[in-house]
Amino acid sequence: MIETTVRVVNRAGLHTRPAAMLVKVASQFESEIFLERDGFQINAKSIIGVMTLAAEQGSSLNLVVEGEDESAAAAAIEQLFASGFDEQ
Amino acid sequence: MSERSQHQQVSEMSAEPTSTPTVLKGIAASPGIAIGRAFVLDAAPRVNPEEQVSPEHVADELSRFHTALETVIAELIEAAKLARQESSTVSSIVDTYGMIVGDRTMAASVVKRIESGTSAEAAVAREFDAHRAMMLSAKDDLLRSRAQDFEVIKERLIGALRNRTLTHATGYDSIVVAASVTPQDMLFFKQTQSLGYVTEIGGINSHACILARDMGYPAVIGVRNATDRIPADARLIVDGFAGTVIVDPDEETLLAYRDKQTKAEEYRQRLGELADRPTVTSDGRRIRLLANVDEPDHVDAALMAGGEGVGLVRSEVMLIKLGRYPSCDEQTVWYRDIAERAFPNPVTIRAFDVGSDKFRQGIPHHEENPALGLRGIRFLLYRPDIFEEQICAVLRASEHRNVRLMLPMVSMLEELEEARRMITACQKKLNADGIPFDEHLPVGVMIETPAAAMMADIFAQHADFLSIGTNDLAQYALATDRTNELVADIFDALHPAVIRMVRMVVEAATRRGKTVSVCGEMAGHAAATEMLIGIGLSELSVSPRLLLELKQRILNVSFEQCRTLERELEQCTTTQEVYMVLNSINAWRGKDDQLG
Repeated sequence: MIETTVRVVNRAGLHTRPAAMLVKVASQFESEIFLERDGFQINAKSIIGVMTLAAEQGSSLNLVVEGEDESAAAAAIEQLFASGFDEQ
Repeated sequence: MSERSQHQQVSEMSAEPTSTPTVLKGIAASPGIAIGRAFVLDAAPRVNPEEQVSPEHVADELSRFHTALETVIAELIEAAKLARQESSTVSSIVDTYGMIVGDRTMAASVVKRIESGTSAEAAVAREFDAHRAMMLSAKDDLLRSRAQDFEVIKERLIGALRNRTLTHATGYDSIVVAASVTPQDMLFFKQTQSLGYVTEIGGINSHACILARDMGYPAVIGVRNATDRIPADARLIVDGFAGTVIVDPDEETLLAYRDKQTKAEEYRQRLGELADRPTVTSDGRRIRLLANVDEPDHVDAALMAGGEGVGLVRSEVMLIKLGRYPSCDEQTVWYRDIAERAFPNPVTIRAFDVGSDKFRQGIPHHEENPALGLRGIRFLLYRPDIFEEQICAVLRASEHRNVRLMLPMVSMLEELEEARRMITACQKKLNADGIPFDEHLPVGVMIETPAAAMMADIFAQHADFLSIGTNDLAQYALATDRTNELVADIFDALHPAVIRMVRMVVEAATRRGKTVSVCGEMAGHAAATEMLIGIGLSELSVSPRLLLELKQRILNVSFEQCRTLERELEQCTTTQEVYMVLNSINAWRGKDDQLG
């Protein structure tokens, strides 16, 4: 299991479009992928879950990945957050 | 008004039917005739979230839920296909809806709710209400506003559970009958290729109606209890000229209306021959006719129909389509496309008029009185981050010096001054980056509050141009919500109070040597054209569909006649008197000017 912290750097936060991108990337992997915020955990393959996280710019999320391809999955998702979902 | 006068002319030409099918009376909201079958959307579906089913029905409920899910997914796939042909911006929001409906976690959670004995409708409602409640507690207002996505999907799923989905409307001959429609619904209707719509509420100047007129989509609104009185699949005639809906017409009526449809089409073709002629009154006064165009794709058609430029780009249409605020780059592409297609003709871009009954994303919380709330320039100054991106995009599109920027909902001079400061700051930034733009980008004020009308001389001094938005000006001057059917009969842009304000604004601008135009629906009110010219306006901006009809009227009237008419109108004390004077103008007109 991999556990790490990701930060929302893009200005608009995890609104609809970045949420959709995140779900698309997460769904490419076999691993179970979860995001946690303030003790609230959601499945990163669920767009509704990601949207209800309501993660605004500057918020930190706990990323938990577990499965065969966990290191590749974690790397892809960390990269997506770091790039600000190509917003800038 | 054009619709009415056109109708009168049409009905004179065609035989009236002798029998009496059911005729429902409403308000003519968008001209044209549609003949098809009723697709009735019930009033907003009410669901009892506590509704329980007995254990032996759980399996049925589960299968209903799965069928509904498949229906909505199929509908969205179809909509996404059409949306991609229409524009990439619409398709991204449709794609997101598809992902929400296809969310397995959601489906699993709804299944669990049904298995515990909840009805399928109640399970869907509770599931989405829970997500929505969570979104509404978001700190960021942009994120918070996405809660509406859940509401949309919830309604579509519940609609599918009750067999009232748009898929049923995809037949080429359907006419939508609904309690009300939003501009977003209109885009969906267009995608489903339905022919027209009938609603119970909604004022003639609601944004859905304006969009319907732009799209040439016949509509009758304000038909009381339409969803109860019109049976599903009934054969319908929607007469968008007269504001009537005929249910189950007999053969004779059908024939009469098919004839009307043909005549209206022939009339449009005859008008087409006018496109290349300059717009001058019979005694030589030059009038500039501009088109209200919201999308790059529509510019060419507007110019072909005789528009001498784009008098109004309602930039918030981009927001409605995208469902979010576009980046500066995205906006630049959009505005530049419009400016380049129109070049060398001028293009006036109105800054986002967010708020009121339009796009509400970014408004921090519910407003008791949104029409009097954070909208137009007030919102833009409240969110300088959004406004700056738009200013920069407009500036970047102004490179060829044919772009003007207009500020909506201004009521105080300070608002214009603050906007000017921001524009100067953006110009400095672009200069520093070596990006070309028009150093003298004209900045205008939209006169649509009584405060701005009363202070028109001051605004004429400080702004580069004025434009009168007659819909909002009438709404605020008459203290009447134009979408409220209870008082819709008070709302009339031709109320003498509104005409007086228009006069004041035109005089103020003329004295200061500034251009002034009318871009509200009043300009497209064919009967009002002569009045506006008589008042002294020489620039009118209307929906592209109305350009030729207006040109026809202008070619056939003299400025002197318009002045005489205006002097008579000055004496009018009621809206009714105004209409009587305006109708008298038809007496001047020759037979060849009539429709038919």
